[in-house]
Amino acid sequence: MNIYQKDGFSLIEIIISLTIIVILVAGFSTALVGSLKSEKQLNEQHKARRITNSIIENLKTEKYRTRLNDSNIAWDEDEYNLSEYNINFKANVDNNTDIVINIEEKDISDNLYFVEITWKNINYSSEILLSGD
Amino acid sequence: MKYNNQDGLTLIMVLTLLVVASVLIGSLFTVVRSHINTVSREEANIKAFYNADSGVEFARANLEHIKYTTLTNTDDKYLKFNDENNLVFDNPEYFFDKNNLNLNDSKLKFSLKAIKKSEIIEFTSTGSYQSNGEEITKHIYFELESNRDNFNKLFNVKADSDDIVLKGKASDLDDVFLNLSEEIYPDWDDWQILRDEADNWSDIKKTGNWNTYTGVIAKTNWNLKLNNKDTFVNSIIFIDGDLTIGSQTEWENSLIIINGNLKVNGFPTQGINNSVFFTYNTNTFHLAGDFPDDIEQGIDFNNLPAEFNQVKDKLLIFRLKNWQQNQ
Repeated sequence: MNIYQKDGFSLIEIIISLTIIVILVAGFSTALVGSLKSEKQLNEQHKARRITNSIIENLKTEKYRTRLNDSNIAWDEDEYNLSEYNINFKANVDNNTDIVINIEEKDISDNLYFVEITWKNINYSSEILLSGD
Repeated sequence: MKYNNQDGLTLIMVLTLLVVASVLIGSLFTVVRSHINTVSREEANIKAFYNADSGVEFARANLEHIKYTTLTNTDDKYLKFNDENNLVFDNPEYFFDKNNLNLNDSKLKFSLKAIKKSEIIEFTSTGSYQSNGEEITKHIYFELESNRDNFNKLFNVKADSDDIVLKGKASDLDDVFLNLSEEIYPDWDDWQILRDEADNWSDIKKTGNWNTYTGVIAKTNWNLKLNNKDTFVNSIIFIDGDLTIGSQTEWENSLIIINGNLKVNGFPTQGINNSVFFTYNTNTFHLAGDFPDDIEQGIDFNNLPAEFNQVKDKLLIFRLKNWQQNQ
């Protein structure tokens, strides 16, 4: 096709072009939205990981380590700059809970606990063994 | 190009726009994909690290249950559950995971490598995590320090070393005895617990002149004079009075607790193998005969009957130190 020709194909060209553009824009926009969603999820996961690590490190402090076998153990909301999240041990989970901490005592040792931290609204969880004091 | 040019440029413009848009979207894809990989890798690294940290916690929780006697100072060995479910050191590399830790659907996986260096044990905990078909590993190095030589957990109980007077050849034992007694000074309550526990133990049953006692937990409420060739293996003997032993009385992997005087008519020539005498509430320590140079001090608590655990837990001291993360 001679692109400098003056024959009247502009309408057909425009229609074909528009069709191609519509298809591609639809595809691109889907990809764009998907990418942005992925970015949002990644940011949430990044944040969840940071908070989870912070919770694990707090559980390793004497304050919690000495109470790992206590059925009435509760998270201190006012501490560690984590107050924007509703963090609960499994026995106290409610509808507002964002993060659940589950502790299982393992019978392979007198003093070993399996701790699993799970986010209710984000697909993220972490697990670790902790020894009591 | 003229402004009044009527040539059809639409297709060129559309194609140009498509190329530009493709480049932009492609770039976005690349950035997002890279971000996903970075986050995924970071997550795998952190989970591998916490798996290694779980190994440290596992060692911390089991310090007093680990059988250190299989560890050497020449080769790295790996902690493992043996067939009897005891924690021993062996080769090759052994991984603790959901199977031997009784965890459902857990991705915890770590190994614990160790080597004995004088008074410390150097551990390396290796955590593993699978991500996108790739195995990520992280290492944590830490040391375990004991206040007992050879991690044999020996200790001696007495009120005050100044109360003890060593007479005759017993003075040869001075350093050994004081070294033992300096290890730990349990308070009176600990001693009372031990004594109360011992009230439930049966008496020593002497049936002949040459008795071998294996796995015996016994208490006598009066002075005890043993036969010359009596042998005690894996036993705990509490004497609420004086104990007199002969030169050929053998002791292997046993605790001898004396609430009185220890009298030895000729120090044991057969040796005290991996055993400890506790003396308490005594003013005089009598010994006669030669004291062997190759006396072995210490006791392997893992081979002792479980009844002693309550007291044992209060007296042993272990420390984790020099924690550091290695790549």
